[in-house]
Amino acid sequence: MTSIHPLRILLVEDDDDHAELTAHALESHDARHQTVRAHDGAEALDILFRRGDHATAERPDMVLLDLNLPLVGGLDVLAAVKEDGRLCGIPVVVLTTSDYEGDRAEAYRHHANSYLVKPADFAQFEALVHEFGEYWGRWNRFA
Amino acid sequence: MRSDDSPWRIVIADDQPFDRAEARSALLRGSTRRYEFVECETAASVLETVADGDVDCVLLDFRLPDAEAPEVLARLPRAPGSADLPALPVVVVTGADRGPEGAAWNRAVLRAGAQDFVGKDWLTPASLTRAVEGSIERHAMARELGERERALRDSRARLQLTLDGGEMGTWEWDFTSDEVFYDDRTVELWDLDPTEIQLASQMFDQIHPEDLERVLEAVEEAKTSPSGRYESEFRVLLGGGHVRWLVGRGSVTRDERGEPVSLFGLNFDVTDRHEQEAALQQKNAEMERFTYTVSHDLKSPLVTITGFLGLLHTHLDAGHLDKARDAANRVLGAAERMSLLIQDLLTLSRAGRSSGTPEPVDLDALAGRLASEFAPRATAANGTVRVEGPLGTVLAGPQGIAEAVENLLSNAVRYGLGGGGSAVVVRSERTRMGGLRLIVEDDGPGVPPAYRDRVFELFQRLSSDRDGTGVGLAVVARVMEVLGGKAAVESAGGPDGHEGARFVLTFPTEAVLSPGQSANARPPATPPETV
Repeated sequence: MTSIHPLRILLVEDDDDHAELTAHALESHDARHQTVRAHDGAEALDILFRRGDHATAERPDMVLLDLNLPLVGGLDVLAAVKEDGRLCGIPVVVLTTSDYEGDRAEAYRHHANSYLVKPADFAQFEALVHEFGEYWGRWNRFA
Repeated sequence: MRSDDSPWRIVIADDQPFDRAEARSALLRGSTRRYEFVECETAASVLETVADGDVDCVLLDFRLPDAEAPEVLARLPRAPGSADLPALPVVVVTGADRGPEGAAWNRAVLRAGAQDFVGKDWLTPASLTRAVEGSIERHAMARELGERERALRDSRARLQLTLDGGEMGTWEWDFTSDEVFYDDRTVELWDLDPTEIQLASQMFDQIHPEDLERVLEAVEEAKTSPSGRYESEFRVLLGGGHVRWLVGRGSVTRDERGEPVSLFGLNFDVTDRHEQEAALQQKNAEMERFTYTVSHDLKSPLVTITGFLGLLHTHLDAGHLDKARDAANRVLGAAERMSLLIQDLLTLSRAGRSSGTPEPVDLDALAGRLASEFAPRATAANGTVRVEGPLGTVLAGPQGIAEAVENLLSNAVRYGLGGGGSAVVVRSERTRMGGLRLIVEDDGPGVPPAYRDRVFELFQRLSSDRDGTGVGLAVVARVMEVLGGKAAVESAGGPDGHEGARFVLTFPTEAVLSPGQSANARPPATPPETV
């Protein structure tokens, strides 16, 4: 699967296991994808806004965002990205265990580009990651 | 009264046969109606005849051998529900005396309940017939009127009973004068000054500003709608910042041109209902949040488990045994975390019920024991745990309190000392109201103001480390809630970077025992149980 443009992905995920699963799925989609991990919302904002230790961080092509994060929550990160003139074009895909309708509505209200529920099955999980990798990979190339 | 074609039965009471005959013939001559006569010579036989029933009128001589007319009248049975109207019409034939004494007799018989009187001297067919027939008619009318009055009285009494039972106040608002007339209950409900005339516009000032527009709209609608019905629910502001929820219902009355003249209605108190609804809504919201949080946090390890089981297959197929072993360990770790979560949820649920029968808990002994338990961990984090007694004694479920203090110490050691602090201090102070504040504070980084409420919520964590499930402080909050107290966190006031976290458990006055009381503690008024 090399027909698409490889992506630089910021993975915002506090759970190590979930982060690794997502990284696996991304790698199996296209080994050229580069994944940078933020462990919580504050670190994600530092990377996105190039602050502190991340002053030289590269802008990601897309953000994979968990909602349930300690301190600065996923929605806060989403809002910060979408309210910023330079960052708002970066697609943000919410990837969460929550299928609660209120969370979905809130995410879209904050202009999430996609809302995906982590499936309780690895094959499904992988397929899901492939799908959005495919979609956003093409989108990224022609943008 | 009987139908027109049946004869009227008249009792003629006179001891003189001649007088009886004269009365009989006068009536027969004076009327086209048919009569039937029963003749009595004594008061006793009159009463007997009347008791047998079927008498339309008594023609009563003023003076009978055994009694005079007023006495006979007094002994006659009464009309139903009446204290003074005899059950049947009586016309008294009075004596020949035309003087003041005769007039007094006439008045006396009327007062005693006779419908009419006729002087013996003027007894003609016409006058007697007029007196008898008029009396029968008047008596029937008086009886009916009495019955209607009684029915009205009864329904008034029933209405009052209903108003009292429903604790309802009634009022009438005159649109022309703007005056409102009200009863005692309305005075109570609105906290009015009963000596003052109330204008509707003044009463509106007492309605909660958020509700006033709705009330006025309801009044306007009642004025214009064909039914004229008014209904609204609103808050009334009472003295001392108190608020009462009232329901108002009423109906508009109109004049002959159909213009609204007044609004008559009632109020009743629904404050309890509103408070219960609010409490229920809060409980529902809590419940929803709880379910949401639990399902979310239980699903997380499940995603890990199924995800790594999938990877395990891939690694096994590819012969990558090291990677397969790692995946298996991840599955194991997630399963353990899930088990821990479930255990902690059970702890929380126990804390929400009762944490043991309340008994005096010596906080010094408790904190001392826990401080030495945590000492090794504190040392490992380059810090100390110190108890600054005396802390005091509280009346509480010992298990719940122990759990709460343990969770606070565990937190302080992990995040306070672990975050660069050097000391955890346990101390206490009394509140002005006689309550007790048990304090566990550290000189670590502290809790940012924005998160001070959130830390007590279920599964809320301030760090992404894997130690702990985020249930500990929720348990603390629940234990204190059950006790009627509360748990809070504030800044310990240290310098930047070492602001410190001060966790405070506030025990209500009734749960605090003074030093002498601990030996023979009073039993609690109500055991702190909750749903």
